[in-house]
Amino acid sequence: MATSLNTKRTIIGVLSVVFIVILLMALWKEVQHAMPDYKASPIVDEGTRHCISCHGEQGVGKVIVEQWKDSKHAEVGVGCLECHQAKKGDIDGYEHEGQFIATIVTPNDCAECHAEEAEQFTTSHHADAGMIMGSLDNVLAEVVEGHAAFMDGANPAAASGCWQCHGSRVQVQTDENGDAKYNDMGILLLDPKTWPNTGMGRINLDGSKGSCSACHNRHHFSIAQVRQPENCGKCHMGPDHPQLEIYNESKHGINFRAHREDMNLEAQPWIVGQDYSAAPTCATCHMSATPDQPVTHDVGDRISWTLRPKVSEKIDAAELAKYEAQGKPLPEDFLTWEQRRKGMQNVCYQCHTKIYVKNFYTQYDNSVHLYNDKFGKPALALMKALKKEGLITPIPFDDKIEWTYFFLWHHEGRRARMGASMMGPDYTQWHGNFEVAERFYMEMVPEVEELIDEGKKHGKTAQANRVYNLLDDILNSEMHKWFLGKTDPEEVARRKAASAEFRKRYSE
Amino acid sequence: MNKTKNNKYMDRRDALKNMLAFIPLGGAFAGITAMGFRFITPKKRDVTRRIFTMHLNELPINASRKITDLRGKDLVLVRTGEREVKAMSTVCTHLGCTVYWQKDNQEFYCPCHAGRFDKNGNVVAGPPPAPLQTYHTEIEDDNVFIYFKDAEG
Amino acid sequence: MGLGTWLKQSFPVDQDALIELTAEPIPNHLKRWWWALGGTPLYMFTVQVITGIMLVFYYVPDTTQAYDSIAYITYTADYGWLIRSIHRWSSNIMIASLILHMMRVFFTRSYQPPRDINWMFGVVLFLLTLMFGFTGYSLVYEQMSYWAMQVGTGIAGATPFIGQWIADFMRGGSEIGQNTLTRFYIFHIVLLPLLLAMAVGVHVYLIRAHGVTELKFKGDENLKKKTFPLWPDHVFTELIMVSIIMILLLTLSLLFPVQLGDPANPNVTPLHIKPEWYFFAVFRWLKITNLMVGVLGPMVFLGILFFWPYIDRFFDKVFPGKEVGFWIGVLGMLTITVFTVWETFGH
Repeated sequence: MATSLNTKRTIIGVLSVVFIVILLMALWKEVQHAMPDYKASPIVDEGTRHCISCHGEQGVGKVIVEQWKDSKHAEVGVGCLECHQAKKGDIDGYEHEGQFIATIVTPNDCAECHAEEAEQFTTSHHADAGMIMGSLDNVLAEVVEGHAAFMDGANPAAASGCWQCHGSRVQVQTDENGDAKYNDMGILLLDPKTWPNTGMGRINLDGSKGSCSACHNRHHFSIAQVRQPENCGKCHMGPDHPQLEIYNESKHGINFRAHREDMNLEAQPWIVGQDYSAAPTCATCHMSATPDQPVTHDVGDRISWTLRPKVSEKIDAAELAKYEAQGKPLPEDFLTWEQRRKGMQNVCYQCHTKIYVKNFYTQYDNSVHLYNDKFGKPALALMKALKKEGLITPIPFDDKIEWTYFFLWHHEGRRARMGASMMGPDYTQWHGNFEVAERFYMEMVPEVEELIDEGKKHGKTAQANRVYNLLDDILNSEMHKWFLGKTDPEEVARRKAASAEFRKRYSE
Repeated sequence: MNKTKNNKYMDRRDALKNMLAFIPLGGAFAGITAMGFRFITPKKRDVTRRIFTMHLNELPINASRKITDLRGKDLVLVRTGEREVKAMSTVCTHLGCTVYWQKDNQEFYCPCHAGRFDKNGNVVAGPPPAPLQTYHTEIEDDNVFIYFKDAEG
Repeated sequence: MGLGTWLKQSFPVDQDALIELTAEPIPNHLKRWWWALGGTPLYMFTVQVITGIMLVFYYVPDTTQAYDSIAYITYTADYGWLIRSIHRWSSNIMIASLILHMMRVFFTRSYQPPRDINWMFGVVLFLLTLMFGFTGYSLVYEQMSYWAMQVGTGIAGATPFIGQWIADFMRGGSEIGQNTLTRFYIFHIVLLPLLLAMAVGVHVYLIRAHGVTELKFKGDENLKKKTFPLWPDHVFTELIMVSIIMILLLTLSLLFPVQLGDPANPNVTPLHIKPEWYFFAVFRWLKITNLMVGVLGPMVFLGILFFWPYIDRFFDKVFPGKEVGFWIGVLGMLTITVFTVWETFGH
């Protein structure tokens, strides 16, 4: 029963070989599971270490330190004081634990190391986002929806709504004498209606415009985070400018979602066509580098149309007009809309052929012109006339037609144009042109007619007639005369035949 | 069954069979011992990092500033010219104690064995065998960076 | 003088005695593989000491650093996952083989006098090994570790009379905290190894002194010799065991490497809390009884186990030939098995 010595020896030999094989497998596993990327510990000076000793350990904003530790800043030795240190005389500075610091870090502070980006940003339209004080939207927030003086001027509709994207004008809390207020730890108190706020166009206490952390979320400052479309989507979404939704609908967005892991979002540099080719993001087209262009933080650099206003115009039109009016020559670095379009097309060419891009721009231009000519200009003319002729009050938003018109140009009209610009056909059509048309024909036109009747009743006959004539001209024009039943008979017949043909398919 | 009367002598076939059985076994144990050795040997990371230290305007010419790495060792930055910054370690090159800067005689003094270095880090007295280690510095956009070698895992 | 002479002078070893030792005749039944179950735990203990010492190179017994140091071992250090997994699997196999060894000794009645005291030393060894498992697991300081410490010291605290003292001693205070971790560390790497080494020494010495119980197996009567040589035969057997164990440990470590659960949170007891498998039976018993019975039950069980040689002899006297001891053994094994399985699948 006992195993012979020879057998035992053989068994030992065999088992040893099995042992070695398994060791090799362990070796293989070890090599595979090779160390994750070594994360060096941050190197900072004593000042920052003092900040961390409280904020990092005792939980007062502990996560801030945790996030910062993972950031590029920590890796290269940029700590708390490098950004938060205030200079003597800064209004927003205060003494704290032996240092003079400011809570808010503005583009001026970031410019210490990121000068080029800060400058490009400051001259961009993004930095002006806070200059909406006189706009209609501002009236909506402060008068129509909210109340500017409510709760000592807390202005909630603006503070929690508009300003969170557009940026507030940061203010310090003051006492009865107008002096700045501090809490019992000596921390400068900021007016709660103006802060917290990382709106794009925040007007800072040091006079600078904007907030880098509107996009570059602190304290990670992750380059991958900032390149994601969702980042822009914090503000560029919603019924009045659904750029994120349009992007998501478009093939660009679909590709992005499908190939997210291939997007190489952490890479530096991040050049389309070289470092990634799966899909473009917002950043790709509007800011990021191509083989021929550097990164720009001026988001208007590659835009040709401005799709914001009631009637779209080329983006340089206003500036050009200004220079012409003043009789001044154009500055050297003035970017015309043609140049900007070339910049954008350069991005397109990384993936598409020139013919493809040219044809797309034709489609896009045509869409904008259609909106402008069929609805934009006529509706604007009607509103101007109504105001001029006194058929509506000068108070904004107290007449129904003002709301109708607002929807038409500010919401639906923008959707139609933006959908065309970024290849989101559903937004162009059903959220766009369809709703523009409905708004115009089914609401605006009847409301104008009503106001005309009202005007006549209240003795403003001449004014009402002038508006009537304008409306009549519009409705009798080529594009609108169908509404009056004046479509050319051949076209009517042709459409009838096509319709009959179509219905055969559905046996209706 | 083999009869081994005396375990001092084995015949050749036995020896060969023994080898075939025990060499792999020995090899396996040697292998696992090697893995164990790897385990207890500390990991060496040789990473040189470019670290931001300060802005040029915070360091007047001929002035010096001290920064500390997270291991508690100080580095000294001296602005030696318009756009020239010298960075020196304060670790004495003799046996690793931290040197003191003595303003009066403009020297670094090491308390362990009385080594002395001048303001450029060169040895002037005592047992240190080499000047204070310097770090390569770089000035970009008025920001002073040093190239810091991180050796710990 | 030559090297050999020099060495022999410095280390006066009796060559003949050495040869005699290594030519020790081993009773035939030890050729049977069941009898390798004693040496197995001893070998596993060696493995534990070696891997344990290696782990100590990186482990930090501080409540704020323990978990991270184990994470370093598991995920970063070269082969750390392997060393740690071997250590964990080896502990499981050690206990499993101990149980099998005890069963073997029990059912072959090898505990009868004069080997009764040695049996008791064996029970002590078993308990020490369980304590090893308990203290070692706590050092990881993950959720299960922390709450195991809580429950374990709580059970100890429920011992009549001396419970409070025992619990405070184990905890290093009235609460689980840094003191507890330090103490468990000392228990695990110093006190228990010393106690175990001493007890093993006595155990093995007694085995050698008494000689292994000679048993008669069918088929062996015809063998000319009643014994077979330690070298090379038994040594080869042991080497085979060693190889099998190493292969088993490596395979288990490769297929089921030890991971890390959530770090210890004194404020949150996990919903599904379980000790190591070898405590399942006790755990289940505790769930279905009140605290007093829950604690006394295992103590009674251990008492029976400890004094078994005498209990068995008692039954032999009272019910001769009925082999009551055997059936009690079977009943005991079944009970433990049922409770263990119940705990495995129940909650």
